[in-house]
Amino acid sequence: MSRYSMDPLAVGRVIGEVLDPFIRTVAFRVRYNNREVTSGCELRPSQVANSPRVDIGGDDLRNFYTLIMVDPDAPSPNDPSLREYLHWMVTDIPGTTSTSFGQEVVKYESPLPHLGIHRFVFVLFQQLGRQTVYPPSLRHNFCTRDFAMLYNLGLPVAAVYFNAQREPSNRG
Amino acid sequence: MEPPILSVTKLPAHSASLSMALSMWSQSSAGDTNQISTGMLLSSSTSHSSSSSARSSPHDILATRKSLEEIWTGINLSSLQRHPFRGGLSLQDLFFEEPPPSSRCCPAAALRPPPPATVLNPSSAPEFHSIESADRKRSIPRLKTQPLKRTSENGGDSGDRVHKRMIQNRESAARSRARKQAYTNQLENEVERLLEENAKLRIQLEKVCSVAPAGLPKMQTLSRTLTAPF
Repeated sequence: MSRYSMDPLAVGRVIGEVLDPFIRTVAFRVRYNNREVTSGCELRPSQVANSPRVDIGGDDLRNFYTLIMVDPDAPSPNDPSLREYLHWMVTDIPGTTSTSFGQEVVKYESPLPHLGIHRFVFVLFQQLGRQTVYPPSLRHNFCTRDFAMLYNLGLPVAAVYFNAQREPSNRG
Repeated sequence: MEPPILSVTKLPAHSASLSMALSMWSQSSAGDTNQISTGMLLSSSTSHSSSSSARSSPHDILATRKSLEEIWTGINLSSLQRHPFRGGLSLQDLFFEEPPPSSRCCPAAALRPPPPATVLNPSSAPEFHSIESADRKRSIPRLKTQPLKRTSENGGDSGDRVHKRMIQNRESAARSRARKQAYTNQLENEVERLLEENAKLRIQLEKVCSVAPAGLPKMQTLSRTLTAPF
């Protein structure tokens, strides 16, 4: 019908470096203090210090979803030796609800990019069943693809990302 | 005329000799078949060995001479450097080795092009072409400033650092362009979505307005009510 410009997730190389191409099937809203996150927007670390409010769609309360937040540009986009750094993981989120109804298995760590401009990616997966996903032991060198394969999460059902860089310490 | 009898019963499977066999059939003179068969076998590929032994000896020497020549041309300083002192270098080592690619003839220069290629690969592929073409435009004016830096420090080391910095800069420029493009795309998609929603809502509003007038006459028209106190 209308002109379709390329998906920001692909242009920003999130699809490719972190995720495989997928089709969005579940509604997904991430809000920091009522400020909605749209793919590719830039936020300041002070704005994302606390965990956002994440509302998910879907059509059934009996479907369970896992939310993962990673930084693929840790510690620096030029040299991402810690790719990906796991900031947050919430499992067993019932459909049509929000993260407050799930299990926070990896506590939200405030993004504090030190070098360069980092991408922070939120990915939503549908679980096969309840209590089938377990957190890793380490945050760094996490691999979303491998994790999804390990716990049979399949392809993502939704994703969004934002950019953040170090905030200047003295603001005049 | 009776067809010529194939003197060689075991022919190898590859197509060259099959086509030769077919051409043998097409030859009408029976007396020439033997000569034709020897000529074909001599010119066939070096790897097969099913021909008769008497005819294969001059043929095999030809084959070995050819491969030796190839090896000698392949041997040069770089390949000797690649086998430093592993218990002596014998001809056999070079015999069974693959001929080195021509790019290795200059090892110093060869070191630089591959690393940038591998480092640039993680960045987005469609931008790789734009990076290359932009590089050609920019590298010419930059070369003038580089020699000034190099002469003040050690030649090789600082050159690598400068080169590495250039690569990193190029990558971050590519990322920055990707970021900008992604943001623009997101805005465009949002605008489209909102325009569509707007259009839908307008249609809905029209529908509601066209249906309603029959249902809201009392509210719109004035009617007399009793307001006087008496």
